[in-house]
Amino acid sequence: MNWRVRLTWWDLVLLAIMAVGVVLAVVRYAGGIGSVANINNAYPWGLWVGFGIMTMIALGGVGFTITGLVEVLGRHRYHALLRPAVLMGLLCYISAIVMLMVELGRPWKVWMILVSWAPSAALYEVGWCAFLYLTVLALEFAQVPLEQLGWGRLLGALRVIYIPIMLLGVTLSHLHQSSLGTLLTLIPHKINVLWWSDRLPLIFLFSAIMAGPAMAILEHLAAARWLGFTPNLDMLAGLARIEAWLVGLLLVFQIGDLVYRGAVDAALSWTWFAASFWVEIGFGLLLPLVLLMMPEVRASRAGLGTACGLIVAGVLLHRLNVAVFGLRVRHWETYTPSLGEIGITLGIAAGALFVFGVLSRILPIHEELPTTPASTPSAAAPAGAWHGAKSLP
Amino acid sequence: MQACPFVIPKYDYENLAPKIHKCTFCADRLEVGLEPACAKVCPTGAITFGDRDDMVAEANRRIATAPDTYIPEIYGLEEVGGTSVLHLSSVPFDQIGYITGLPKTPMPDLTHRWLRVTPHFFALLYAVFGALTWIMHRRSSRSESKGDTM
Repeated sequence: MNWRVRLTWWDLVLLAIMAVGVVLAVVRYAGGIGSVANINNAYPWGLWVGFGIMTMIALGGVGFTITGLVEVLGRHRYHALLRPAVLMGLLCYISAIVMLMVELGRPWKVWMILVSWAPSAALYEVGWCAFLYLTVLALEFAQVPLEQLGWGRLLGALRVIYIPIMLLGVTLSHLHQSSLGTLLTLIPHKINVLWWSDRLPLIFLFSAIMAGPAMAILEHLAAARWLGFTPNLDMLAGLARIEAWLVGLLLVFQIGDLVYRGAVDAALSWTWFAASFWVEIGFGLLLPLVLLMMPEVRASRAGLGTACGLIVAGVLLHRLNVAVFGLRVRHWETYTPSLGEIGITLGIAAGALFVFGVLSRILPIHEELPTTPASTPSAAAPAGAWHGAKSLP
Repeated sequence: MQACPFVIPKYDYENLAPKIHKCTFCADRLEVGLEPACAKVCPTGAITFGDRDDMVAEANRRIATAPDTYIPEIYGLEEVGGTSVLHLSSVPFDQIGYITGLPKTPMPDLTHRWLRVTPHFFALLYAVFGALTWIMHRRSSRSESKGDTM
């Protein structure tokens, strides 16, 4: 393991954003939520839940999507994307938990959900799935540092339980992603008719699955650029073909749902809601679908980067539309995110990016990079191979 | 807080150990046989307290005896399954900022449909993914032993 990381200018930018977030978090813990945030009795969620938790969890879907693709569906040509995807998933979930610790009024009581029994509550399912899946992600990822430290026995134990644990993670994610949508079906009177649907759990699940390959492609392109390896464009083109199908299916599902619910009129009226809806559909689904259907786009870095960037931004906008922008309570009550809310949210996101950057330089996350001679992993477990469980008798 | 259509639960946004508050109908007064303070002090008798059936009957009586004063509607009778507070008005409720068009079933019904099937989904998905993993693994190890490339 190479512990010496030379910080680059973008590490310093991320550290600066994190520092702002930390200062604001100190203010929040010293003066209460009201001292930094604009959330109020009518709008108790705001940006912290809409972005910091809902969007982060959706983007963290990259972990189970790529794991499912490679391990469950047996598409081993995408194996190189597995470790980065699991690390991204882990960091997204951790940052959602950190956000929760800021957003909850009494964060020190959060463990109570584990000793309560409330199977009919949507938040109960959300809490349990998040806790269990975070554990699964940590166990999956633990193999990488353990390999480096040479803790063979613990590593062996992890590899024996890898397949059932991996399956648990993929299954839990399906439940967890959809349960966030279930949570929002509770507020039909607040969410604009464009977004509230009985099928929100399915829309949340499908869009999280769709976000996965886009995140993986973006990460591969970014890592290739900043860590200095040649991106495997053949592999990315293959994944982009799958992604085009996922985007197309979600587009059909979401428009079909809109028509089925009879909300077309609302979509065709001149309102800010309709505008936000069409930006989400047009730039987040339709445009990337058209782009990804073109072979030239799938073969180029710029094309893939643009299409996948739009998809990720579209998922972000969808979560914000459902949980923040699309909400109206009573006309005299308003909510606009405060700078404090934005600062803490960005600080946490910057923290996740920073940790990803550092870890990808000290641990063998990317197969494309040569492993440092100082750390020679055992012959049975070459760096990047994640099939130890299968090679065991 | 988010699920309540009436924005009734209130939060201590300035408190370091916040609580969520809502009307308890003066539980401490009820315990010793008194009526809630709001009903007690109301000089005109607009606020009355009692068993829900009695209150529905009282609301209907008031509407029947003063049809010019009240619109023939009890807010809270059926909204979200029926609320513990009932309101009468002389103008339609949407004109005074009340949320109308709420479902007539309790809010948890909306999520219950999904949550009820969750444990079954979990078992089913786990089995399906397990089977897929096994089939795919067998297929790839077979093609490897034949020397094929994927």
